[in-house]
Amino acid sequence: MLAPEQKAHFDVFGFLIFRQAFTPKEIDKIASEAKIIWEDRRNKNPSQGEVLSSDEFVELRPTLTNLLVDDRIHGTIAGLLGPDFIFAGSEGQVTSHRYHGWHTDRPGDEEELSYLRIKVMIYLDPLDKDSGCLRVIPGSHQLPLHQEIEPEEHHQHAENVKPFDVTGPDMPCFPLECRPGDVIFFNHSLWHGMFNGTKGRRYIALKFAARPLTDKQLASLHYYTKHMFEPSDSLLKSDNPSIRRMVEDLPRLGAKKVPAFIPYSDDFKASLYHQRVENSIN
Amino acid sequence: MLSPEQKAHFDTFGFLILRQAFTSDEIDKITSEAENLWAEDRKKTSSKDRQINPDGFLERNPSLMELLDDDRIQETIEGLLGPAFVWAGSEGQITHHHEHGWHPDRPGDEEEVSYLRIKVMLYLDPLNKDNGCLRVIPGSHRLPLHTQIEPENRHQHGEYVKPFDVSGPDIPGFPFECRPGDVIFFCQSLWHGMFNGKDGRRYVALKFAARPTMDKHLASLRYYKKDIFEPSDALLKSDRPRIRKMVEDLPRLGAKKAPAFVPFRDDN
Repeated sequence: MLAPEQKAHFDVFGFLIFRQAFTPKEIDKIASEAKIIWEDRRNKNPSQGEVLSSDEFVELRPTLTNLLVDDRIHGTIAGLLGPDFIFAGSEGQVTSHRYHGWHTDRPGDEEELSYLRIKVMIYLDPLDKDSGCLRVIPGSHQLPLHQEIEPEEHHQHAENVKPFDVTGPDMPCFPLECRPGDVIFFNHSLWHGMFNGTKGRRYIALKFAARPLTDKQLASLHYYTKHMFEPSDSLLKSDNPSIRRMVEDLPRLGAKKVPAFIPYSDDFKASLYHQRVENSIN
Repeated sequence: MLSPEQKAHFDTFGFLILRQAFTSDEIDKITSEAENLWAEDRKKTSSKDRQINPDGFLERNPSLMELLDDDRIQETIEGLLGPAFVWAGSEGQITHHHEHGWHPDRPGDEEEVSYLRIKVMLYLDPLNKDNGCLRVIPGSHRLPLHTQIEPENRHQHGEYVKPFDVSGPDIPGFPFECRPGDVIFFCQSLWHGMFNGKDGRRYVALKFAARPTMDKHLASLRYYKKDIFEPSDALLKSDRPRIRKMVEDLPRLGAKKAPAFVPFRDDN
């Protein structure tokens, strides 16, 4: 059950952190299940090297799928999005990226920002600002701060782009230093980044969205996460009604015609740039 | 000369940091002059309170007063406030407070926060978040964030008041970790606080305001700092034109009638 003060924290600052929501034993179990998936991926594609990224993750192991209905996550998401929300996918990553420049997953104008989508991060390693913890700019999910951080689409996405005369690591922010067991819920429109990343950081992420009420909201979902409209059978045929509820309408919504989505900024171009930089580093 | 990127930093986040703007020699000189003033103050007071908190601090010492006319401060303030600004006083503190809960110096509605006032802090000791550096909430100098942080007048001002379910030190702020020589310019409507303060932290501060263009501006200045309208002779008769320029109109402004100021909240 989310307290009004926790809801206020999320609404005002754009994120919420639950310290030690999961016990060490639970985290060990989650980590060992995740490891099975990562090892399977590595065996199937040895060329992937140290970086392992999967867009369909918790759906692959029943123990991890249960995270979707764990009250610490499901109850919190219901408190933030209301009872009628949808599942927007999961990730499981072992990453060696040293940095991920400042960005927002869902940039936009007032209308786009008001469509609430949430990412839940469960880091499996202790992280601080010197080892690659998530950094956020509190309150940047709201206008005017949200848009001002990206003047003329030149937000700090590379070392030589400094619209505020500071490097990425020096942007004013709040580092979400964490230990395994902590859980972070953040608004997808919040500005965030990562610097000084150590090799082999592991995390699991779950994504949720408010049920789309307008064509524009649906178009935005199509643009960013098209694959979410094809949920796996493990979810569609789950014997847990709460899981079925958050996915059962997705195929119908995915088949619906939507207007073209006009992205607020060309993050794709920025992400290509990122990849080039990362490839040159690694 | 302030760059457009620095101006954007201040406008967007509500503060600007100039790292190592002053050399070690300069800081040593400032520190020693400030220590002399604090020693004088200690002699004058019979109070056992170790806190030394005099207003009108820099104006008492010709060497420290040069800071008011220093290019690094004057040009930055001019870049942020425009060429017509007024002097709003100075402070010199040795502080033993362990914490100073989250607050803006100038809270308000859209109109009040749009009247720009800036505080310039020169800390004379190295500080980090574990020994009492200034913490700020970037962007909180403007609505809606500015007012959202104070739901129903219950901002975090004590250990038991937690409108966001976290204690003061855990409110998501940016720590201005600094070394002597660093300077921070911050909008006085920015939410800021200090936690884990060690004994004897020292700083000097300078305050500036945009020239008031409305009666409400004048009323606000008067409410918060009535004594700014009585600048010392050292300032009024300074041989430095930039110092005279920012104080010469203050007595006239102080004599002008202004409406009663209705504070956004009662801090008491």
